[in-house]
Amino acid sequence: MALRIIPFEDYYIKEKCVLTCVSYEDRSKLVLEKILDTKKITSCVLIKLSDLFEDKKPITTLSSKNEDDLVRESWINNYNEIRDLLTRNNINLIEIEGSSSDIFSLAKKISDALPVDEKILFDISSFPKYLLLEILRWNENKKFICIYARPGIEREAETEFSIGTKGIGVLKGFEGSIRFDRVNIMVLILGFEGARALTVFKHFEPAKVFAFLGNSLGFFSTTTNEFYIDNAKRNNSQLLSNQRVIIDEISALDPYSVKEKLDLTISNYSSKNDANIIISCLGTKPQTLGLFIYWLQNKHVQIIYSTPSKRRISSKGVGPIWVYKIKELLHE
Amino acid sequence: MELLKKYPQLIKNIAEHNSLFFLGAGVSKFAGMPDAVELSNILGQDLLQHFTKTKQLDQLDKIEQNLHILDEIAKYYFNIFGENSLKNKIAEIIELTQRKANPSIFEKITLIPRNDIITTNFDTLLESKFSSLKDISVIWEDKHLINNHPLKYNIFKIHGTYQDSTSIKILKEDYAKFKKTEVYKFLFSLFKTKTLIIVGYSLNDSDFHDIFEESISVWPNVEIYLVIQNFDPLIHTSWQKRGARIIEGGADSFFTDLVDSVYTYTQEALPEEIQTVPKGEIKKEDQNPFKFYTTDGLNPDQFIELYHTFVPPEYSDFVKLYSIDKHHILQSGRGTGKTVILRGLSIENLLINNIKTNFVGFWIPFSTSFLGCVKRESDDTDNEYYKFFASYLAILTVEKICVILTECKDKNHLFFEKANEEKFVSAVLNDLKIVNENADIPTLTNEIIAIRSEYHTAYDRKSFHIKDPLYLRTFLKRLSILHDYFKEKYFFIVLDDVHFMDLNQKKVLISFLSHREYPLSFKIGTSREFGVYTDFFGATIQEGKDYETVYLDRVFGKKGFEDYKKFLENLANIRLETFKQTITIKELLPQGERKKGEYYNGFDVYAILSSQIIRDYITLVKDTIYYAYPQISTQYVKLEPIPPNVQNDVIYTKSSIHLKDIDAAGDLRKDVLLLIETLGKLFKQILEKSKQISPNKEIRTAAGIDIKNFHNLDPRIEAALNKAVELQLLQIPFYFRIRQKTETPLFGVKFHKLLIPYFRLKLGYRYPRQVEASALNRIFDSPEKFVADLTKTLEENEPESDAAQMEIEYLVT
Repeated sequence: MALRIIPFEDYYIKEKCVLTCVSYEDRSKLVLEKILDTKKITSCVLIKLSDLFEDKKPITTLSSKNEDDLVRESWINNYNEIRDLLTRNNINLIEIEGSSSDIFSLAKKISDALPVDEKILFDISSFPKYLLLEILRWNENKKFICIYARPGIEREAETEFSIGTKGIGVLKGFEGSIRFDRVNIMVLILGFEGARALTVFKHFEPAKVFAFLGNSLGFFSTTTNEFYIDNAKRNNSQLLSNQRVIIDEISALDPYSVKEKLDLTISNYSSKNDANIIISCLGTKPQTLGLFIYWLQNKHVQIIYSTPSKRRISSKGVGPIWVYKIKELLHE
Repeated sequence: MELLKKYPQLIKNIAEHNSLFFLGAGVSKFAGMPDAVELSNILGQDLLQHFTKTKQLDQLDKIEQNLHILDEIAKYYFNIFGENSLKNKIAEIIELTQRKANPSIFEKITLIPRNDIITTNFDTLLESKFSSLKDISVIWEDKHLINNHPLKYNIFKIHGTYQDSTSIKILKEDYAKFKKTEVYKFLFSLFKTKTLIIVGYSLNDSDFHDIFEESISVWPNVEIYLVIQNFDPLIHTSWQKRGARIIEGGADSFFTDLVDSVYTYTQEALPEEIQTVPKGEIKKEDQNPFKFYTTDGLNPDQFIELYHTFVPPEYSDFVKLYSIDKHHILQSGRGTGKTVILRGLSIENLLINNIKTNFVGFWIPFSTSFLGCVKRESDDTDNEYYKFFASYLAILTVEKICVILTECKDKNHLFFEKANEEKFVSAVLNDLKIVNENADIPTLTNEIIAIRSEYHTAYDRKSFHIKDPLYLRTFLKRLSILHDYFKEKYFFIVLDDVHFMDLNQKKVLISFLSHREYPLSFKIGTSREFGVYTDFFGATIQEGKDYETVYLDRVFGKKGFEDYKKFLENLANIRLETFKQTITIKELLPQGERKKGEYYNGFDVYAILSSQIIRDYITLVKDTIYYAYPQISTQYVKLEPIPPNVQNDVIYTKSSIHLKDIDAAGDLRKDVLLLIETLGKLFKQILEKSKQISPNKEIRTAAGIDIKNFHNLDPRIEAALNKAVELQLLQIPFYFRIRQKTETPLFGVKFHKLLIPYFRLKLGYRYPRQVEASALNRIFDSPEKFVADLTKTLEENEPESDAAQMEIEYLVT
């Protein structure tokens, strides 16, 4: 397969089923609109992580809204709009609701609901990364065509990404092979949320960390690429200044390149068989795809998740959209 | 600072040590030293006297005509009296006038961050103003070049010094010789990379002008600033042609402005990294004696190396851990030596160091990697989870013991008879119903790891077959088959980093602890309060009866700062000796003069700034060494005293880095930052007020608060306070005395000492200020008003005596 990543405009949709999720950001809704415009889709599996947005008190007046209210309100609006959109287009809707505290069961439910023998369009843009990994693991044999949309407008300031960490844990199914007689080497694929990455680092206190900054060269202009790298560097400056951290770059948008980079970096250690490899992806969804592809051939690594203590709308609209033929990627 | 407003880049270059000063005769003249014309005049008078006395009256006119031209007069002097007389005469003039000079301008120069200095002055006013020779190297001959050091103020006296009259350069021949020296070549090369700042330049500084002209023809992009009182485009044309920026002003006002500008710059822009600290794993070739600063990632050999030099075994209260009749919970924050002490109880360490004990310990470090895979499922009953996790805990412990035994066998710490090993392994395999014909310890270890891994993927707990939760006891008994060493021994299961356990897992551990059964006891390390004292079935453990808590971060609180210092000095000197250094820590970190913006140097200061966190002390020294001697990360370097100004640079950077830990506060970042910054401003205000009230009194800093009526505290403030304590930005003080005149209980917090440099506070510590919780609640609404109100209130209620309520602290004089 020569072409692994295709601009959305160049992809001719043949799939009948789309897998997407409700989000407090509008990306999944906007991407769904574009997909439905092609008139090929007949069914939609819609995921709701509704526990994140349960709140006792109702959203009242504008003046009383805090950030949590805004996020919740946005999520509810997007949910209603997606439902309307699907109804207007006569799409068969399969809603799957689950809890963020039990991603494992949710991923299994999703797997059960997805058609077995046909290709599925999977809009990964708004899925939590750890749910994305779990879905991919449960559906190793299914054929996904993944779609990823960059945000239209993104927040930049370091403080806007200062989100705390509610919990850090080992992702079920990705426990890996961990032994007392090996040192812990951590691989952190960094995003803009420096606080979360720093918390993960401080939680594990590994002997050595490979910290990867996302490089989107080939997808964006040099200036835009530098802008992303500089942002990530600035937001993660405290982590990156640590002596145990080795800084490198990794593709932000090409999963196969991510897989290759992980292979290259980690093989130095795994060949010696003297390290527990612990990986956390705080970067983009395509990087998460790359991590999954890497994991398929390296199941001894442990993948950990960190859940944010709160949600914050950090982007608006959609930017460029790419299509990733995941099945081909896996088999290359 | 008007003079330098337009030149931010100049300030930056000076602050970052990228500049080269030229101090001409104009600077010394300001101090009252003779300039070239005056010097020429004095020499000329000698000549006039001589020619009058010898009646060579035809010479008098010549001398009088050239009296203001030093070159000419010096030449006459040389021809009449000879070279020695000429140079001795100059030395004599300089020595005499220097005694009466006013060197205040040079004091200002010493307040500027270190940069290389070229001077044509013969006097020693500049170097004498540096309090000691720790920070400077004075170079006037090739043989002195060896003293040139990037971390010192290198003073190049290109006309020599009056203290060595033969070095004085006054004749044309002297200058010609100078151009052939290594010093000349070295200075020539400096122009390539440095910003040149010329102060007090006069036309008589012609040989400096020559170096400059020659170098600029090779490196035309030299950035130049010319500081001059009366700029004359006719006289200074060549400088202007070369693109020099002209700063019109006197040398004295220039240096006054410069000191303030650089001070402001360094306050506003602290670097966030020490670039020379090597990244990644600690390498064997790294010769920094402080390279091991944490136990994380250390293999057993490295740990042994660290063990002697981090927390020596004889140290303080933790020996209580050796007692066999109780469990112990060792509670302290990161970096206080908890893991070193606990790991020190482990069998490998006892054997290698030949420590005779009646117990044998096995150190088991927990982490989310292990514990995160075996959390309670939503449909687990209490009993089901107890059995599952207790069984896991037992197997995990057995696994770690097997790993340790493998290590002991491989490294010959303990010799196992083959027959005994086979018998032991067969018994354990049999207990666990494992079939494997290879009855050796590595095989057993792999089998146990395989069993333990099954627990990690036991998603269906109901059908998962667990091992006996109480198997650990049987296993420990089996050890006596393996080796006599284990006979008649008490067993310590040393569980480290137990704070990674969640509530349910801790409840299971309580079941282990409440079920006392000799010879087994648990030694537990946690960085946070254990918090759970009852198991799933109602069994409890009681402090004093079942267990003791040891607070490692309070050990020095009882004994005082002097003990802490002695302890640090000891461990540092052991490290230095281990790495074949002959210098002591006090020699390595000499204390300099406390001058503006430069208060943080000397061994004592390092000890204070570590805030009783041993790891912070080690890290401070480690990074100072990497900064001063970058090459030490790859090869042996003989350590010599690190100049005080360099220590100061490192401390400021480390202080800035420490504050950046606020990033880990997540969504509380904004609140924690506001809290810390507001408290910083409050303490600074109090300090400034104190200086105004008692300018002659020794000023100490309040860097802590005692919160009255804590129950009234706003939850948002409380959350920020707790987070700041968790991040070790704030510390909860240990009080020596019971406070007097206190009606309600107080909750105290104080700055980690490493924040003191960031806020430019004093190291001398003053009692914490009492603040009503209700007043603190206003901090987020209007921090400026909070600071203003509190400063006023605290001034009005200034207690009479500091000593009555002083926390155990210290003063740096």
